[in-house]
Amino acid sequence: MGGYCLAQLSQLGQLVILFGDLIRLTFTRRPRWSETIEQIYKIGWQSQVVVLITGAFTGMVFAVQTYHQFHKVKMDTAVGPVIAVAMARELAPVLTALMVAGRVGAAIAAELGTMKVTEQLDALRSMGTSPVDYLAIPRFLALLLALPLLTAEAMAFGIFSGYLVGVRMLGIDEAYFLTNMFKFTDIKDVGSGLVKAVFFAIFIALISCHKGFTAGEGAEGVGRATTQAVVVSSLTVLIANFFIAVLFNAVIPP
Amino acid sequence: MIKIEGLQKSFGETDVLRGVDFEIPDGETVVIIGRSGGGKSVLLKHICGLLKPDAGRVLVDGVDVVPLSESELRPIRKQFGFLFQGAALFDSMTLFDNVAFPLREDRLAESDVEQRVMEMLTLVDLTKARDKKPSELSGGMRKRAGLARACVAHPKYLLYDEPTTGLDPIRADNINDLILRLRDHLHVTGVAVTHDMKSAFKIADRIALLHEGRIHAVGTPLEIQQTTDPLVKQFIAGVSDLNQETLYGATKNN
Repeated sequence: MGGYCLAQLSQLGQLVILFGDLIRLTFTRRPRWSETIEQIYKIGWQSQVVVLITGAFTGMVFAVQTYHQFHKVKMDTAVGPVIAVAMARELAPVLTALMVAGRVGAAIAAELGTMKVTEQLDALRSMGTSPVDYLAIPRFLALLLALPLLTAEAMAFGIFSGYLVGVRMLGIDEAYFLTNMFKFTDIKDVGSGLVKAVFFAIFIALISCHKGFTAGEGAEGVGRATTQAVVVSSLTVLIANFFIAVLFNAVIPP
Repeated sequence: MIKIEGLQKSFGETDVLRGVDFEIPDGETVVIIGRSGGGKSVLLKHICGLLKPDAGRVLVDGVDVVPLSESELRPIRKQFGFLFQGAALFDSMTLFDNVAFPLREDRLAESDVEQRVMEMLTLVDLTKARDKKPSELSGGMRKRAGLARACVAHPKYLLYDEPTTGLDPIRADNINDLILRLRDHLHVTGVAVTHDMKSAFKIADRIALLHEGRIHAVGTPLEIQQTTDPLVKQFIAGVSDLNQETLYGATKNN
């Protein structure tokens, strides 16, 4: 038990050190544009389909479920603001982060882990290049830029598909749907979702890079690092989401 | 000159190095022989600071590399070339980009990069494969490419981790000739670890036997060949402990 706690604490310490190195090297080393752009393409551009489908179908199912509840009390037009606020504040940032943790976190951990076990990380270091500088920073910056943008896309598609289902399929009055949606949805709702995405990007990048850098021996080690990267990133996103939400509500009341 | 003093390293419960004392004078190629898993590669990685020892010092031109941080190690590592066991080529890059990597990291002009990389590729006879990815190359080609990458920045010291393992005898001899050529033309100081005795006798100015975490014997290839030390003799002849027991048993019975 004591050993387990110590191991967890040491992992946390390593994460903090990695974060410190990331920040320090980002500002002290020359930027690696080509690597960063390549990662933005892989992490951001290529994740769009997954994220858009997630956002759209979440918005659609949300419209269907809330409609049947609100219809009982004759408040059909409340579906609009409920979808918009829920997508912006919670569903888009969390679901996008979970999908990206699964898709990108796994890829990062597997790639860096394979480089570790085939001594490519040692090769980098032996040539005087820091793996944090060369590998982690481009992925970190790419996630930092891509995740808020992907979240915004998920929000837009979720709300739009919710509108389609609510107005075209379920027959909610379009004018009231939209008026209520704009009336009860605030820029703060969208803003808080995007700020959350920034935090989630930091968590996913840090955890996935760390798991890759510290992968154990052989194929088994890489496999375990990949699984752990996804599991730990996803759980961190879910747990942190609660605390960030509480904090936001305390600072900026909804 | 590289000087190793009282180097100790253990992984968990296993003591790998138990006090290694050793000197490598400039211009010499020293071969460290020893059993597989006996800590030869670990010793090699300590020389350029890729691993930190539990105790002891590693002096490179009088500077102790043990207490140095990764960024302080950079200028020292620039003096080293490292040929890894599996070559450790970056599998996302072509062979040309791999060999060009250390030069581009030093921000050399692209025309100089082209010229020096092609020079090295000619030396290792790989000019035709310049645009291939490491996964398309054979083991021997990868080793030669690794050697080209290790040498391209004209290092003062070259560290070879099993340079000939896994190659056919002709390719192995080819690598041996390359190592000798590097020593004679570029005056590179070399440290090689191997259990290929043929290669050891060909390339070494001196041979050292690493046994149970210490340097058991050091000598010129001739001295090693003529030694009366039973352990060294056993290693050169490639006789297993089991064979020796049956051998001794047979003698007794006679």
